[in-house]
Amino acid sequence: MTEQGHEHKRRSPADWWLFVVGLVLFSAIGWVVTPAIIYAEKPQPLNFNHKLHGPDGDAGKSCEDCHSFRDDGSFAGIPRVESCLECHEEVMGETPDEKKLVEVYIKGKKPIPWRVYAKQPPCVYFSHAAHVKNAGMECTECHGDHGTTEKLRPYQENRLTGYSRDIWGWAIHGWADPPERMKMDDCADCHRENGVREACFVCHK
Amino acid sequence: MPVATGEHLYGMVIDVDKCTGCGACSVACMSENNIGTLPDETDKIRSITWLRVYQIDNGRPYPDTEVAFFPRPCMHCGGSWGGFFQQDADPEGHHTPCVSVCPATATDYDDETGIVSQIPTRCIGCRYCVAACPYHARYFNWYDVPWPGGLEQSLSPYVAPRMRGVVEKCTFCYHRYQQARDKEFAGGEFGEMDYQTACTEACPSGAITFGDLNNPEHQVSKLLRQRHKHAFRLLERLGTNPKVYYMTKREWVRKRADNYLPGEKIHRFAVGS
Amino acid sequence: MDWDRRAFVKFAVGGVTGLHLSPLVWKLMDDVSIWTQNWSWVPNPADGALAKANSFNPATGTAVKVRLINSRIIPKDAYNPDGKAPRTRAIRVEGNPEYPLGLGIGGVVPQDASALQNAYLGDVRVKAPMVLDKTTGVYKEISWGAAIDMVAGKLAQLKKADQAQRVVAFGDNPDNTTGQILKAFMAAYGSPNLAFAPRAEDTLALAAGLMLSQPEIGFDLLGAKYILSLGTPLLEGFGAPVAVRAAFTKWRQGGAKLVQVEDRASVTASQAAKWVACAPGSQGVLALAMCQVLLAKGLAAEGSLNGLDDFKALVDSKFTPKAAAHATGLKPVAIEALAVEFGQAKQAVAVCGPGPGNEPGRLGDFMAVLALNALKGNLGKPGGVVVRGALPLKPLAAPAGASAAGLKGAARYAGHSNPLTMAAAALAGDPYKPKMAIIAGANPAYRGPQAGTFAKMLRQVPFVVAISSYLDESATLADLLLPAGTFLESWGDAVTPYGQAQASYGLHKPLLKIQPKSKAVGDALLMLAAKLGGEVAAALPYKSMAEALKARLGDGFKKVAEKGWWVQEKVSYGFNGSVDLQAATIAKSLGHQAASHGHSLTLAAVPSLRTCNNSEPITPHMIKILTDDTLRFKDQTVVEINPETAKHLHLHDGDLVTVDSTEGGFQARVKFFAGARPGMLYMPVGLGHTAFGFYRRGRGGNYNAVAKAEADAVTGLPVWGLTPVHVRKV
Repeated sequence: MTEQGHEHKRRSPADWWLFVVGLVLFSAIGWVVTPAIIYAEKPQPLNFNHKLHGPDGDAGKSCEDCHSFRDDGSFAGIPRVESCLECHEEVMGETPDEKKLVEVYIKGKKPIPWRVYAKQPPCVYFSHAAHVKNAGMECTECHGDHGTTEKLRPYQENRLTGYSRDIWGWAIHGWADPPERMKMDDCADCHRENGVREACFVCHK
Repeated sequence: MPVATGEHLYGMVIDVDKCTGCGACSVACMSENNIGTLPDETDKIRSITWLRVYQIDNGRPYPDTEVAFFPRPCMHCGGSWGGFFQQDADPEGHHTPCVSVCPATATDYDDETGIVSQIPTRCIGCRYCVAACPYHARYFNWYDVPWPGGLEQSLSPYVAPRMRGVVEKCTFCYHRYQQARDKEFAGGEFGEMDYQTACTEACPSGAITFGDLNNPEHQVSKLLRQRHKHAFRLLERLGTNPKVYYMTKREWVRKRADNYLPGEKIHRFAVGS
Repeated sequence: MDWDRRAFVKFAVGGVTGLHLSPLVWKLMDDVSIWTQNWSWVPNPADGALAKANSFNPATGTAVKVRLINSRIIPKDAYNPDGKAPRTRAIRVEGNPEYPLGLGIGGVVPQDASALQNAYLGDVRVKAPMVLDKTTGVYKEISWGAAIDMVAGKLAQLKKADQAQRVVAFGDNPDNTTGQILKAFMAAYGSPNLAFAPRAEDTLALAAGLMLSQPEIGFDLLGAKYILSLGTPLLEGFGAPVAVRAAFTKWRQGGAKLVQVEDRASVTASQAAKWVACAPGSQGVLALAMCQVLLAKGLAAEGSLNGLDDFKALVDSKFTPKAAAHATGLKPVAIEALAVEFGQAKQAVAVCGPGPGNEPGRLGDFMAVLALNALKGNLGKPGGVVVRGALPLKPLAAPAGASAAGLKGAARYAGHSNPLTMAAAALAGDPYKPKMAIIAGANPAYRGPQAGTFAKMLRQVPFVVAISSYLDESATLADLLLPAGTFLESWGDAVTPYGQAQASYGLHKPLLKIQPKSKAVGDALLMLAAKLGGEVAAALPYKSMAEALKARLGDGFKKVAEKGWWVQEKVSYGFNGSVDLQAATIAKSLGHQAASHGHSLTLAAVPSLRTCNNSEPITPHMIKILTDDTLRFKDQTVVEINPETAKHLHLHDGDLVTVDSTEGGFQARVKFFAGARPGMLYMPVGLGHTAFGFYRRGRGGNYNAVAKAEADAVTGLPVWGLTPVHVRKV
């Protein structure tokens, strides 16, 4: 009796394929669903055609005409609706987006609630002047080349934290070359590589 | 002597003989740095004033009584100056009291400016630094600050408002240094007047001077050279090596700057760069 | 293969491992940690382009710059009551280094630095015209038009019934444009009952007018090398504090000597080279005794002084150093030494000035100090008493006929321009009871004199209109509230502060729309005048406050509006008038010295820039900088007492006591302070509001409500610097 109880049932090593299936399956699920279940795609209030406004487009404006540094060295970021008003006092083209711009925002004297791709938490002080004017970096190094796009790319908001996808980065695996992420570690890495100051107050306020 | 390792060493000289205790520096600091008001501000343990003005008197009877004021921002201690209790301190490193105890690296000593930072979002609220600071310059947010009825509209975007459960303190208006640097990068000059703290600007009798102690041209350095006999720091014998200097011609005021025993002789430390 | 337990465990373990090989878990962990760092209830101030605009704070006389942020993005949780997010907001009020009287320092006082709090704190602002429903006690919002109709209707009705004199009005400052409009309004309407907050400016103008025939005088603080301050709070709120501090800095650098004559070890006394601790309220006596010494020792200036013989006779008989020793509590030798030092000093000036809260002071004290200056011979000299230049202002243009008719109307009735007698007469119904009160940008129910009496009067008046920025003590007694703009939201001006050597003018303009329905006090009065029509409209032919200011400033308007200030370029030296020493008037005013009333202690207020006592209330940030020496345990005022005096009264440091005068009382904590004069009790002034929301209501006692006001023997102006009180341990 006792011997019988101790008798092992022979196990097939082939059973391990279930482990592998689980591993591969859930890993795949994880890779597939990761951005989708964490990020919600939110629409911009209206589409902006950078190509049309840019140097090669109809408006023929340079990037700095709208995305300018102020006299005090601070960066103005996305232009105010007043800048749009310079040309769009009346509807000029046929797109519904422009119609919305003129009727809702310009005539309604409301600021356009753009969703800012690179918005950082309030404790962060990012100096555009230090990176662009002093270090000579190109805007595209961080913001990508959307100066020639016809459509605004989708804005994804983290369901938990409320921050933009751009902060974490668009590469699901979390690394890309050049680094496209905008988290504190990424700032610190770059500062370290280039021998720039790393004290807390360099980037915090 | 202050530890001079970096490019700048920002410090302050406060002329006690010019200070009239009006509190303009303190209030200007609050409006500059988004410091709110709690419903009960007489509870001084929980009240937050980055720059507090202490009143002292000479303790003599009427009519020989005299009062004076010590405006007290964060001292931005350099540490390691080998003071009274630290004869063999490491002259190269810093031993800023608060920085050395922070378990979360929420505060650090910037070698380039000599400014002690405080990052509230990184702070875990253990209050070790509050206990370590001999000047009571650090404050803990016991409550969320209310901004009732539109008051939040007067908040400055240059300083992040804090949340309950973290420590905050004077930053020498570091955001103004950031702004001055931005201006410099954009092609402007970074002169002495481009980086001044809010309290310095606000003082109506010009009692506060702020600038780079490493720069002999700056007013702070000149003052310390010219009037080094009148200059002193608070609790100098602790060896915290503060970068906030005070000046007075009145001996009794100087005596109040440290815990002297009655009849004890005042220690005079070399001052000036 | 069987799908048994072991197989499932293998699959599950594989799955979990697989999941960990994907970014999902790690990312979620990271996000959760970031989520814990989100404090949605902590405001996130919107960034934007920064601009600076010039302005002028009329309450403090400080030229300021306002930092404005023009925001592009409005945070979603921004305070936004009416759905339209305001895009321009002010983040800071700072000094204007270009202001010449600040000597380039560009400083401020706490009230300037926290002015935004008063403007933005919506809970205590009057937001819209509101009328009190007397049956329910609830205020109901109405439109401006309806409110003006209501007031104009009542005014017209009273006028028709020949009861114009039964309308009483109270303003803040008679010299600024708002005050001028109010004066013209009341004169044309036909009521003589118009009072303003009493100020030391009035006393100084009266004294200077009597003695020098020049009401507009100042003390050349910047030019002086020796400053004898007779009880003035030079560093605690004298004149325009920023300008006085700049002068103080100059004294420090240039080695000028400051001598402070005062009863308490105040900041000024401590910063002075010498503190002469004289009895409270005896500065005039000391000045006269010093005059006596100057005359007796031949140190008095040569020159023709009218009435010198009478004056000599007066001081020789009653004000020798020996005779003054008792009143001043100083040794005759000390008085003599001080007089000799003053007489021999170069560029020396004796300064008289306002008591706490700009309390007007006694005429005799002011005249005695002016006599001392006249004997010193510093009239019109650098570092002396100088005559101010004129302001670049035209008077309010009123058609001659209309204005005269209005004044004639007003003169038909007996009335009061003195708030103390006005309130007393109204309460007694002597000779009539007021039927309507207009409070124009002032707060007499808090500031006094005898705030309690004034509040009592307002409670008895059947219809009270308050044009006010805040729901202050006076406004909460009103039946109709009209929202006034703060200096950041409206047009207005300020004239030369007390005792300043150079004439100066400040202009503030609307920079922000914090309370969109608010209007300048002047605007409300002008709307009322237009609605009333007739003589009143003819006397005030302006559409708005801006237009009135434009008319007064003429071509200079644009420049002054841009800069925010105008200052007389140089001090005008030279004095060619005659001096009349008016010994009889001095004797009369000083003769009625308030003697000790057999009370245990005399209460005096301590002025401070931390607890302002002017037309604007203390701000929440200023409450923060009050130490345990001013306010303790939420709401207890701290009273200072000399340890020796306390010993006699069996009081200990930190005791809770009640302080009672004939007018009222409060609870306080006793604080021992060696610098307090024996027999005196000192309290801060500017606290103890009964309105202004949870930051300020009930914080300490209000000196103005406790103080007993006395009328000056000559001018009848209220004086309430010293009040006899009883102190009892709780």
